[in-house]
Amino acid sequence: MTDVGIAAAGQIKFTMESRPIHDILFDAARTILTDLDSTVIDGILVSTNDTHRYLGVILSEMCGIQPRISHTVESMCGSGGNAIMSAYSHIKSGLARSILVVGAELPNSPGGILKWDMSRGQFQSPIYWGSILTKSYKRRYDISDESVSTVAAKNRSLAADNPDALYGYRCTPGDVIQSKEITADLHLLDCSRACAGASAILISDADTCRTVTDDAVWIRSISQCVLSATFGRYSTYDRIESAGRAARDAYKMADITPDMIDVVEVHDAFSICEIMATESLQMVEYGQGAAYAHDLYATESRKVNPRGGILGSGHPLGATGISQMVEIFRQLRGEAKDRQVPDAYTGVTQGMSAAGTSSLVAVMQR
Amino acid sequence: MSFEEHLKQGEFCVSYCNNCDTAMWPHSFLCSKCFLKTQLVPSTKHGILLEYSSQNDVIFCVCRMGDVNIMGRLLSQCAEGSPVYLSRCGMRDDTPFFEFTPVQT
Repeated sequence: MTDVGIAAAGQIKFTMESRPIHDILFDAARTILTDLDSTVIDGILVSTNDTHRYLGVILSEMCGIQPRISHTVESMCGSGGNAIMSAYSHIKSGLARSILVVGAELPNSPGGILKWDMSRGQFQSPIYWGSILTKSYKRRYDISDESVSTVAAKNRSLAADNPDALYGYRCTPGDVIQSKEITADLHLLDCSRACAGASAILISDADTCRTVTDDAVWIRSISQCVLSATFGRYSTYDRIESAGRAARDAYKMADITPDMIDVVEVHDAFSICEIMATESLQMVEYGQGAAYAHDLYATESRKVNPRGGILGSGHPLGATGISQMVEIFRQLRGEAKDRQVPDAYTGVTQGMSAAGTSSLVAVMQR
Repeated sequence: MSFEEHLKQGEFCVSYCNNCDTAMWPHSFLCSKCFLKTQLVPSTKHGILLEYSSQNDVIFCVCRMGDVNIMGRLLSQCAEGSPVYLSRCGMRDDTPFFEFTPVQT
């Protein structure tokens, strides 16, 4: 079977501006198509939670492409990663040679709420599961609010070097603690914000990659773990078990160990999520994620969430998983400018849906 | 009666598969193991507080009742691991709600 690579990637700036969803999709696709012979594309996938229909095919028409495969992928916050996984599978199987994956969302997306999950009762907003995870972790490992908030300070500060980020300002854990209290365990700056944004990535087989670029980034593995759709099915609330299982499978498939990771984008929907993700990815032991985040912050390391993560960049749900991979693509090619991680060779993305009931992990190498 | 109709009357039910001797939550009309039809049965009202947080004056929590975990409002504070009971439930604007009260020991 062919190797699968990323031949091109691009995205537009995340904002709070509301525009037609097909316009924002087209805008992101344009970042790739402008410099590409579009005849290499035989598939277009769209990832979004937007309720408009037939968007994959609409985007194909707007781009002037008649692909063999086109559809829309929705899987809440993890839609982008799932669309990439579908593209990877199509190419690996030989069903397609090159697929343009475009993700987009608007600020008023309905994708943050899973009404089907009755186990959440009247507490449907993500801030409630975010609070439960935060409280449970703090209690289990005797961690302070300030330790957790270091993640938000780090990522919001890193976003200052990302021109596509929604935010971008230096801040401290003290600033996070002093921001508005959302719940007893979450401050405003601990929470990501839904926004408008779009990103695009061209996933191709090895031959096509080489016709498009001499500097492709290779997807060594991609793995998803689905435990449930229901938050009430969590067996323990102090870790994201789905991420741990997806990571183990992805590392095995890519034949890497966690110490080989040079740069990683994790799904920091709330500060606690990065702490749990670095533990699930086996970058640190369980219970050490907050101390690790503090070390990264103190040393101004860009190893974890160099673009500012979701906290700093904003969270356009359908675009988020793709933007994570766009960042790893840029990092591994040495194109990340002021936020470049030196000599990055192996990069990882971790995304998740619906309170971490499912997770997706991918491994990329230069 | 449907699950929602039971809930509107203040009765919390889970789906029960007689063939597998298993309760399912969220409710489902078929068993996820044998795919035979389930029946709605009233859940136990007694459980354990797993975790809680708060927003303004509202304490929200996750409680374990039998084999199922539910988020709801905790009417007064108690420690994690404490016994609680489901003192009220229902539907409000098509959204379920659950309220738990600590068991006095």
